[in-house]
Amino acid sequence: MVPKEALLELERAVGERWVLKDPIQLISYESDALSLTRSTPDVVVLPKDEDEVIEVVKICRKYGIPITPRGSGTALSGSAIAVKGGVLLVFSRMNRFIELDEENGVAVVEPGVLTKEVSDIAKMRGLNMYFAPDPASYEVSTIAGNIAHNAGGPHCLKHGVVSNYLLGARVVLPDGEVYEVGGKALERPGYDLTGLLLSSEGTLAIITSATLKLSKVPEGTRTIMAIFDRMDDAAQAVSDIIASGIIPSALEFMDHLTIKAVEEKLKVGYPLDAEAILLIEVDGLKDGLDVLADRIVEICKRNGVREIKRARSEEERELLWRGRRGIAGAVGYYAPYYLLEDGVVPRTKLVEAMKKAREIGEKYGFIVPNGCHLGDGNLHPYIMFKDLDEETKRRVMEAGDEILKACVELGGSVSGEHGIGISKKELLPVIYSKDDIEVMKRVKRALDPDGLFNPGKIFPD
Amino acid sequence: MSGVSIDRRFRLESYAVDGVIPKMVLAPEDLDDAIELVSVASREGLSITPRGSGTKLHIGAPPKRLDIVLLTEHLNEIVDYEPEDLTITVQAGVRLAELDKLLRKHGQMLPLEPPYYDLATVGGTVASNYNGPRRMGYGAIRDLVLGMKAVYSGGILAKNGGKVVKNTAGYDLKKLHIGGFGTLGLITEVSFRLYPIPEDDRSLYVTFKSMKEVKRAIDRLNRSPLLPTAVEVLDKGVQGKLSSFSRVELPSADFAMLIRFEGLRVDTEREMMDSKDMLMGGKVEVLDGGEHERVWTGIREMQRIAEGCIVKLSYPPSLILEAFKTVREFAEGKVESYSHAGSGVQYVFVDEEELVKFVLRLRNEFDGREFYCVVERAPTDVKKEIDVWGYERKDLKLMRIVKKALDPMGLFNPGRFVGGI
Repeated sequence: MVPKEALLELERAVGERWVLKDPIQLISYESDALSLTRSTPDVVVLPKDEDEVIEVVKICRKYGIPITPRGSGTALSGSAIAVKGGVLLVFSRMNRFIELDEENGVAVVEPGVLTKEVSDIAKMRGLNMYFAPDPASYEVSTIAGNIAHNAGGPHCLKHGVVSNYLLGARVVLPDGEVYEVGGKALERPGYDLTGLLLSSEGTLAIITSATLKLSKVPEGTRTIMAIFDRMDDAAQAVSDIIASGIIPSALEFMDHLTIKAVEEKLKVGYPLDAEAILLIEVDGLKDGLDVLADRIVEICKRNGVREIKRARSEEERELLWRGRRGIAGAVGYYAPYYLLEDGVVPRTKLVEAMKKAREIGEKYGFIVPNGCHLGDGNLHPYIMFKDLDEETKRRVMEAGDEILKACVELGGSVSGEHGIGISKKELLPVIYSKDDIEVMKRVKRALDPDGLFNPGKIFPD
Repeated sequence: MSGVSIDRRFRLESYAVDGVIPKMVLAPEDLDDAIELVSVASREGLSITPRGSGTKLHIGAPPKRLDIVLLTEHLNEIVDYEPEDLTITVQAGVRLAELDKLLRKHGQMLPLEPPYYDLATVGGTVASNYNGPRRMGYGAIRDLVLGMKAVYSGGILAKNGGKVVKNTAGYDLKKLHIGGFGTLGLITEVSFRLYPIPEDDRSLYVTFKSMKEVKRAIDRLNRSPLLPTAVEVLDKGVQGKLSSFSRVELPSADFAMLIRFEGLRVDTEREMMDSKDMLMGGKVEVLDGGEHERVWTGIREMQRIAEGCIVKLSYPPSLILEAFKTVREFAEGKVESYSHAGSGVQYVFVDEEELVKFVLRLRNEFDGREFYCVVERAPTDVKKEIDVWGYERKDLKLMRIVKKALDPMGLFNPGRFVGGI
C-alpha cells in the first residue's frame, strides 16, 4: 500500500524517527474507542507542524495513499481507524497553544491540544474564560478530534456543541493546499466553509490550527440531585422545568441499572432501589441561581421526588458528578465488555427511548443500562456482553442498530455526539434518503475526487 | 403545473432586481410544485431566484440573468412545533412576525431580528444570514438552525440536520445555505431551536465623548461577569434617527452605547446597577417597557429607517475603535454609523456620490487584515462600478468548487454572489 519511494519521501518530510512502520508499533494504532473494529495502517506519521502536514498530504496525493487523521484515538465511531490502510496521520506532536486573544475572547490552537487544556490554559493565563464544550473524554481527546465530530457533552442544551464555538481554522485539503476558513471576525461574506469542512470527521479536511470562541466562566453554578421512584415522574419533572422557562446547563439522567452499577462500584451514596436519578445543573449570574434552584426543587417535589440533594460547595458538586462521570467504568459491574451507543431523540421521547433500549437489549439477551444527557435527548445505552466470539459481537451490533432505528422512529437521529465513522455508516440511510446522501457525496467527490481522506467513513458502501 | 404566470397579479416589473425584469414570476402552491418547478427549470436551463418578501433581494451584485423569480408565499406551513422540546420546523415562506405570534402564546421566542421584520420570511432571513443585535446573547442564525430541507438543481429535495439540538450525522451542508443568498438551492423548510421569553428585559443607554472611552467601557464589560444580550454603539446621526423613530428622547452625544439585559429580574437589576458604575460614561438612561421595546425595534429597523447607501463592515470585535475612526476619517465626517459591537458588525450610511471612493479606500486600508466591507445597498449603476462583496481570500476557490458541485449548471441566482458566483 505504501511503496518504498513514498516511505522514503515521508521519512524525509518529517524525519525517520517520526514514521512508524514496525508492526509491533502499529498495533497500538489499530483501533480507537470503538474497540470492536480493528485495522492497522501501513504506516503511522507524526508531523510537527503545518508545513510537514502539507508535505505528507502532497506525498500521499502523489502516490494515491489514503490518509486517516487521528488525535488521541478516543473516537467511539471508528473514524480514527485506518480501515483502508495507508497513512495514519497522528497529531500528538502538534500540541501548541498558538494564541490567546483576550480582547476577542478567542483561542487559536494546534490540532493536538487536548480539549480540556484549552480551558485550563485560559485559566492559567488569568482569563476568566473557558472553552464551553466538555465531552466526557475532554481530558484526553484532542480538539481536532472533537471538532471533526462536532462533539457535545452534558452541557449542550444550554451551551451548545463544538460547532457553535468554532470560528475558523487553517485546513489542508486533499488537493495538498492549505486554506484559511473563517477567522476571528464573526461574520464574513461567502459560504460558511468552516461548518462544512471541519465537522466532516476528517473526510474533507485536515485541521492544522483551530480558532475557538471562548465564553465567560459562569459566575456560579448550582447542582441538584433528584432521586425518583419512577422514570416517568423524573421525565415529567424535566418537562415542567423546561416549560417554566428554565434552561439548565446540564440535565443528566441515570436509570435503575446504571444507578446500581455506579453505587456498587463507586459508593457515591446513591440509593440502590431508585428508579431514576436526575442530575440538574444551572449556571449564570450569581443572584439568580438560588431562585432557579428553588424553582427546580419545587417542581421536582410536585412530581413526587423521593429525595433532593443540593451541592453546597465545589467538593459536594464534584461528588454528585462523580457518579455520572464514572458510568463508563462502573457498568463493568454487569459484564466485562460493552458497546456504547449514542442515539438522540426529542427530549419528550427520551424515557420512551430508554425503555425501548432496555427491551431490545432483553430481547437479545443483554443488559442495557442507560446514562443520558436528558437535556438534549441524547441517550447512551451501554449494551453489556460477556463473550467476544463473532456470534455475540454480531448480535450486540444488531441490538445496537435496532436501538438506533428505534430512536429514529421516535423522531431522532442515529448519532448525537459520537459521529458516524464506520460504526454507523450503514445506518445513515435510516435518517437520510438516497438524495440526502447523494448531495453530501457530491461535495465529497468535488473536494476529494480521489477519495484520499479517511476513506470508508460516513458513507455506506 | 400550477402557478404559471398567467395570473395578472404578477406585474413582472414590480419583481425586478437591480433593474432586471424577470421573464417569469411563479408561485408554487406547495412543496411538490416547487420541486417540479425547479426540475423543469433545470431541464430548460432557466435561472431561479427565490423570493420571500424581497426585503433582502437588493443585496448582491446586479443579476446576470433573471429567468424565474420563485415566490415562496405558499410554502407557509408550520410543519411541526414542539414547545416542550424547544424546537420548531417551518416552511421557508413563513413570515417571522407570524412565527413570533405563535411562539409567544407558549412563552417562547426565536431571536431573529432582520430589518423589515414584519415582512421578512424565514427563507430570506436564513439565506441572507441577517443577524441582529441579540446575536451576542443568543447566537447567530447558524447556531439557531438545527435542520433544513432544500431543493437542488434537477429538482432534488434533500434534507440536512434534523430537529434535535445535537446531531453529528454526515456533513453540515445546511451551513452552506445560511448566508448563501439562494445560490445553492431553494430552501423550503428550516428547523430552529427556541428560547423561553425571559422574565425581564431592559436596557441602558449611555453617552460618551469619544470612541476611546467607548472601547474602554466595552473592555470593562467584557472582563466583567455580566452577560448582556446585545451591545450597540451609535454615532450621533444614528442616535438622532433612533430617537425620532422610537419617540424616546435619548440624550445626544458624539457616541452612545445601548446595552440590553435579559433574564431573571434579580439578575438584570444587578447588571443594570453594576454597568452604570462600570461604564463610566456621561448621561445614563434606563429603558424598560414600551420605550425599551421601541428603541430596540428602531435598532432592528435601522437599515429601513436610514436613507442612502449602506455599507456593512465586519471584523474581529477588538477592531471597533480603529474601524470607527477610519470610517469617520475616510468619509470626512459625512456618514452615519452604528455597530453591533458584540458581534463586530458595523453599518455605515453614506451618500451615493461618496460610496465607491469610500469603500475602495477602506478596503485598501485594511488590506491583508480580517476586515470585510460589503456594499449592501446602493443604486444599480453605482453597484456596477464596484465588486459589492470585495471577497478575495484563497478559500473563494473552495466556494467555487462547492457551487459547482451543488449547482453544476449555475441556475440559482447566477452572478450575484462573491467572486461572481
